[in-house]
Amino acid sequence: MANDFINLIERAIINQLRTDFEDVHVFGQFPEAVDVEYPAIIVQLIASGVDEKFMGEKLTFGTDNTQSTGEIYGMALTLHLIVDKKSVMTVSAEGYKQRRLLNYLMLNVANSITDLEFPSTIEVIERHLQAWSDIGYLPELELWGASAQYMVSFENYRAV
Amino acid sequence: MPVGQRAPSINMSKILRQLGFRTGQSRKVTYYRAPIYGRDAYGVENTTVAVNEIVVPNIQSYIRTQVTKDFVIQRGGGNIIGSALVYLPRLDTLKNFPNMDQANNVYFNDVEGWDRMIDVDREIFTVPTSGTDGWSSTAGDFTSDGESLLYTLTGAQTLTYSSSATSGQYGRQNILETDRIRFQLYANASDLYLTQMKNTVISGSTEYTLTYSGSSPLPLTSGGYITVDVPYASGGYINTSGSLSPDTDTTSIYTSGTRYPYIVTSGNNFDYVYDLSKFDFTLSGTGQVKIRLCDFYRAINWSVHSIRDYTDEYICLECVRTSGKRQSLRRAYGE
Repeated sequence: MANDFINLIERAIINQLRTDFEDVHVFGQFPEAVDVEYPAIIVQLIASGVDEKFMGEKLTFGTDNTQSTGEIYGMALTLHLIVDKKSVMTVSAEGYKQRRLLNYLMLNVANSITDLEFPSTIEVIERHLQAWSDIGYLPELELWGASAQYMVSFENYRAV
Repeated sequence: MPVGQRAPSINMSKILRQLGFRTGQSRKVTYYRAPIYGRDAYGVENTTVAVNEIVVPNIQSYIRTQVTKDFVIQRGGGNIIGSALVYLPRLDTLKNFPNMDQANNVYFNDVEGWDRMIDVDREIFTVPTSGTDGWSSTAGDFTSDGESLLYTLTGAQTLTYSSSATSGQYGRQNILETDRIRFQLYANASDLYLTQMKNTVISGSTEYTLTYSGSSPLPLTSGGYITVDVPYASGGYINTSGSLSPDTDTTSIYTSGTRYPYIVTSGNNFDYVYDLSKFDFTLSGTGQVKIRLCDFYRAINWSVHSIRDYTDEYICLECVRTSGKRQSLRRAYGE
C-alpha cells in the first residue's frame, strides 16, 4: 500500500474529536458559509515536510529483502474552535454557551488530542500541542473563537 | 413648493396595500426577533429564555432589492449574499397590529438591529384548500368556497390532508427546500382552538412525524383569520436542551400579542429530506373553521443592519440577506 500517513493522521484526529465531542461539528477544512454549523472544530493542515533522515538509503529489515528508506516527516495543523451565540452543549447537566463553552472546549479538546492514540500503522515519534491563542470574540458575527497549533512527527519509511 | 406650504403626508399603509395589488414588491413578511437569554453572574448567557422570540406574520412591507443573491460572494465564503431596502409603515402603525401593540405585547417597542423580516423566496408546496380532494377527518365533511377549506367542528377533530403525489424522491410530495410552514385559520366562534399540527413524511413505505404541539391550545379569535408561520427545516427553533437534535425545540404562535409556545417533537429517524405524506390539524371546540393559504415555503431572511429613514410616514431599513442551505447539496448528500 502506498504511504498515506498525512491522511491517516488527519483522519485519526478528526475521528477522535468526533467521538469525544458528539455535539460539536468537526470539519477537516474551513467549511463553506452555507455548510458551517456551530459549535465547530476546524482541523486545518497548514504545513508538512521532511524534518530529518532517520535511517540510511535502501536498507533491509531482518530477513525481509524489501529495501526501504525513511525520514522523519512532520506536519503542522491549526485547530480552530468556533462557538456562535446560539451554540449550547450540556456539561454536567448544565447548558454551556458562549465564553463558558469556549473555555470548556479549549481544555477538553487539548485533553482529547493529548490522549489520542494513533493507528498502529503509523509510527508517531513526537507531537506538540501549543497554547491556545487568538482567543476572542467577533462582535459583527457574534462568534467566539480560539486557535492552537498542533505538530506531529512520524517515521516516513517506504520501499524503494 | 410655495413657502409655508406643508408637504402632503404619505399614507404608507395604503401605498403598500395598493402596491401589493399591482406588483409583487409589496409583500407580507414575518417579523422575527430572536429570543433573549438570561445571563449568569459571570456575564455568560445561560439557557433560560429571559424574553421570548417575537414572531409576527403578515406585516405589510415594500422590499426594494439591491442584490438578491450573489453566488460569487457565497463561493468566497461570505455569509451575506444580498441586500435590500425594506420599507415598513411608521412605528405607530406597526404598533397598531394586535401582536405588536404594547398594550398586548410589551416586548416590542422598536425595530432593532438584527431583527429579521422573513419573506417568501418561493412556495415549495401549497396544501390545496380550493377544493376538498385529499382531505379527510375523523368525522364530518369538508366544503370549500374556492379559496378556503370549511369544516364544522363538534368537539376535538383531526383534519388530514394526504398527498397523492408520487413525484418526490422518496415516494410522495417533494418538500426538501422548505424552510417554513405558513397557513391561516378562521373561526366563527370564540371557543375554537388549534391544539396540534403534524407533518408526516415518508421514505419507501415508512412514515415519520414531526409534531407541533401547543403547550396550551391556540384560541382562534372569532371573526378574523390568524396567520401561523412556523419553522420547518432550518432556523427559528429555540433550543434549550443543549442537544443538536430538534426533539425539545420550541417555536411560537402569536395572537393578539400573546405568545403560545409550540413544542416541536420529531419521532425516531425523522429526516427533513423525506417527502410529505400527510399534514394534520388537530382542532377542538364547536363551530366552523376555515383553512387557507397553507404553504410550505423557502424563506429569505432580511436582517436589519441599519435604519436609513425614520419618518412620520414610514421606516426604511437597510437589510442584508444571509445565505441558507444550498439545496443542490442537500439533495446530493441527503442532508
